[in-house]
Amino acid sequence: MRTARTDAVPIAILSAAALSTAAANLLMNVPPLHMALNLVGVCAYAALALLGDYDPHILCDTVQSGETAVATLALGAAALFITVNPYLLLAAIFIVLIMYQLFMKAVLAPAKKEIALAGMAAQAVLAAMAVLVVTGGLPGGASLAGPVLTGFFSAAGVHPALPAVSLAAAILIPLLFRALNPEMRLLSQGLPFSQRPRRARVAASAGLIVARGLLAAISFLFAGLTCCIGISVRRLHRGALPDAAMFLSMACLGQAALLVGALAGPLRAAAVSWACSYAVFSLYYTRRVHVYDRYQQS
Amino acid sequence: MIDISNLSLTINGSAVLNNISLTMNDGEIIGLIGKSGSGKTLLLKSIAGRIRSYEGTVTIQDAAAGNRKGPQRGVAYYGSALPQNPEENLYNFLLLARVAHKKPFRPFSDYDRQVTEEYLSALDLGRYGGAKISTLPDGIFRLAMLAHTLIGERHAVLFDNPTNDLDILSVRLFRNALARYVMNGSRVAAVSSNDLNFISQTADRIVILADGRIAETGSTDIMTADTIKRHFGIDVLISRNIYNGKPEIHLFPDA
Repeated sequence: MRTARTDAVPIAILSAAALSTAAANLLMNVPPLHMALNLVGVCAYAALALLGDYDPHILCDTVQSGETAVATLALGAAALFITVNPYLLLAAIFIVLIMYQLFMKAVLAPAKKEIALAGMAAQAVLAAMAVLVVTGGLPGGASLAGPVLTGFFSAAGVHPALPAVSLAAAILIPLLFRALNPEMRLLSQGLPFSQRPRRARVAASAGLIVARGLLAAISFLFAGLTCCIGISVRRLHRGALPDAAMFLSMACLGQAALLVGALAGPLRAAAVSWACSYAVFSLYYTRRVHVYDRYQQS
Repeated sequence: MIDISNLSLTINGSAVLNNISLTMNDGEIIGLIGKSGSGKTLLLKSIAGRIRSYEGTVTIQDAAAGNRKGPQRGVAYYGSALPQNPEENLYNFLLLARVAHKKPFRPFSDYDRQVTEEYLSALDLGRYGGAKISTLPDGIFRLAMLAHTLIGERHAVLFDNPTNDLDILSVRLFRNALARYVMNGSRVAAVSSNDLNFISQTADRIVILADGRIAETGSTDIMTADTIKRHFGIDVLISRNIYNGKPEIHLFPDA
């Protein structure tokens, strides 16, 4: 196939880049466990991006939607004031992200760019809190900021069961949705096209929100915002293997962020990842082909 | 068969449908016409179950409209709704219309794919099969939405202004597809339109709505200059189509 052949070059380049950065990380004495845990977050984010096929509300990555900012605030508050138990932290972030998704779906209108505006507002709140923490308002806060943004569990290390279960969730959840692919794709087209009873539609929507919340929480806790480019890359890719390109791009950015973290500190690594996320999103946003007015949204 | 009995609908205190009783027989194409605001869309939406706050009864194949089971007994409604996921390609989107015919966790059958491909071909959409629906030109997009409605193979299909955005070839292809849809005598179609010529050439029976009531009903022969003057307030010339003898409406040039 012609398209598959044209994919070979970018995929080879991305693979080489991911392996090179991983090798550089080993040379820079980044702990292999840290690298592996970051990859768990990448897998969860890849699964989350795959669920985007069933949810037309999702027009951007979790950085632009504000989910990472909300999760960062929640994680910072929970870790500083409540607990550092990883399971409780995962549960807390999971609940917060589900609530934020409900807010996005019930209150915001994606066609009016409200998700992007809400995302900016959440990031502005995060930035204000970060300034307060960094300027010494909160003892211990400054040292917590880097690990929170680049993967709290990766930096802290967790019991092996948690990454194993998280990885299993990242693999099984997309498989489950894949098994229900036609039903979920039809659901994503909106109520007028639905052919199932109301309770089936509600159950499917709830399942999607829960799955997305769980995957976003896992990804955030293992990789911070070092891989939040998946949705944009997948939609930007014009070849036959967008999923492979997406996974390799995220793995590459994740490993590069760890390298920057080893060289210049986790806060700079987070800043680079944040900038990359917006850069890729801007590329996707400006290159979208919506020739006709009916889809000239967001 | 669709049986509507004493259907009335009130919205914000004003009666928009008044005591409508109508039977649509299997194998029939019913044409609904009337001035804008006469209640065509509301009647179709009530039959489709999109509006449920009406009084009276709507039964479809002897089952109450709210209690339909199985795709063969159901109703498909074509309106102005846009699919929310524009990233889907056209073939996959059309195939999704067959979801009601399959069980969860099971793949589409060969028959599902065959029906989809037949309508793709019948409506001349084959070359757009791989295109994302967001990139389809307006006329092709509307034709695709019509195809989606037909591919579901419901017992009844209801079309609200189906010819909007369609070019002359697409109108003809749609008309042929609709005729074939009801041909086996086990399905019924209702079409509302402001295009009186389309209705007169397509429908087997015409229902004229005025102020939420059925003003007249009958074969296409009721499309006379007097009828149109009475219900639309405009003088027209009626001729007969030389191939099928059905009425054709012509506007007079401005005086």
